[in-house]
Amino acid sequence: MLILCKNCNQHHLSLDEQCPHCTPTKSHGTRISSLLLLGLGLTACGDKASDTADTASSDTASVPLEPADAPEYGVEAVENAEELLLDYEAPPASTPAVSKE
Amino acid sequence: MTEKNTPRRLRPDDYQNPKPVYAVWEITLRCDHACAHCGSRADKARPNELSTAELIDVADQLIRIGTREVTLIGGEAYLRSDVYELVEHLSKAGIYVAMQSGGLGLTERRLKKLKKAGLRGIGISIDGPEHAHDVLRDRPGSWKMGMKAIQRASELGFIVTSNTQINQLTLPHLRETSQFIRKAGVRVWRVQITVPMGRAADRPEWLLQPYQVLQLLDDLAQLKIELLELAHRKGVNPRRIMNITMGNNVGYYGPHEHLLRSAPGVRAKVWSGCQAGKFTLGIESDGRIKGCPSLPTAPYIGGNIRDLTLEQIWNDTPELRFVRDRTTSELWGHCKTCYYSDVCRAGCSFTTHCFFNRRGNNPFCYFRAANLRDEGKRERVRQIQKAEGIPYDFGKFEIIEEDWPQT
Repeated sequence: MLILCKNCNQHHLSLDEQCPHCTPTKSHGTRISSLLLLGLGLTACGDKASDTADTASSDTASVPLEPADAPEYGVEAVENAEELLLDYEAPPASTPAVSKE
Repeated sequence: MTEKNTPRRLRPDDYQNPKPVYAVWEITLRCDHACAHCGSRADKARPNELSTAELIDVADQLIRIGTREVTLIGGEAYLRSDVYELVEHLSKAGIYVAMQSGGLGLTERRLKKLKKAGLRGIGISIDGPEHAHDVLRDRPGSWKMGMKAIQRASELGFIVTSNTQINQLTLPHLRETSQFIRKAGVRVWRVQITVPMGRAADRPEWLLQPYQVLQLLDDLAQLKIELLELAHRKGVNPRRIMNITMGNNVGYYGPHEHLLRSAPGVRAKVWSGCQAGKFTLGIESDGRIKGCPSLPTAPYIGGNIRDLTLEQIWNDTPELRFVRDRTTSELWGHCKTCYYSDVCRAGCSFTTHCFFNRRGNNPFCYFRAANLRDEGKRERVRQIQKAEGIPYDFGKFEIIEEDWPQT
């Protein structure tokens, strides 16, 4: 497992009791970490309870070494595809126009 | 479809018996672009591309072996008139089918036919603002057509994603790019570093230098945070704004890994090594099989579907098995002694092989570049051997470590 350190926001191996990346001079992840927590906490704004069902939003989240998904190539994997379409807004008129077939 | 049953989500049996859960299939090398950075040097069709009957046979083999998602690429996949038949065949078997395109010829008629056939997702590549995109695509007007295709596909109900190649032409325009593609309807923006394969190997001056990974990831992290904040102000799920994520050759580790690798509110992800030939498969339009669609042809083809079955190539050829069978012994340079060596295995195999003619050492790494910066050092790459000039070829580069210039 990899553990996400809440101090420096970097991952460390679960075998290490303390984060090896943290030193008195290395805590550059603090600002991002707090913003990240805000952002991930925002999932509660979603309209489905399942949005947060398996969210690893904790600042001490552990991540298995085996991937959860097949890797990304070509088209990005999109979760909850239909849900994403619900609030699609047409792009502004400034989008370039071309002749239709 | 819920997050837990997306096709790419790996299941317990996948770990026990690795299978090509996700296949990326080049069905033709024919293209309406001849992009200046194209790794496959796409333009004209290969002389011996698979017939319609052979496509359907390969599709059936994918279904039998357990593939759950297929992305069709080219060239331009829509330039084959039998693409609709293939999409329908795969889709009816329960496979999630998507297409990656430059968007030039994605007319309303084609999109409607593809949707009717069962296509679910479309990725349209936009490499930055108009001037940079059209230079890279080597075609004036390409950007306008791509953007229009995004709009059309969104209006027709496709999930539209966009890939952007990061290089010297596009790195300065990340903010602008993220803004206009989001407004056009893109839901996931994925960035990938341009790798010197194919025509990109002919333009080494366009390639990112390893130390620029720091700027790239710092900037992307800032943009993603701003999108999260925007979602908060609007009171909507961040995924409905736009997710920014990294391709396989962008990373690794460092303070932005969690933020940039994960989709907000879904799950935590982290780079866990190249998965070529373990859960993915690449198919070239003449039937040759490799473990990842990006890998260069010569060193990574396990066989041709005209000579062997897909199962034989997947199970028995070392070119497909290298990730399943490898150890850390192939690591060299900084990667050999890295804290993450056993997990990371030097990042993206395609990238390292195309730069250095072997895997195992990857200077395009945030963790490494940041550590070197702390020591006042940085790395550059310099081409020492040109590419041959055939699809999916590559040259060779050397790594130069130097002092970080005083500002």
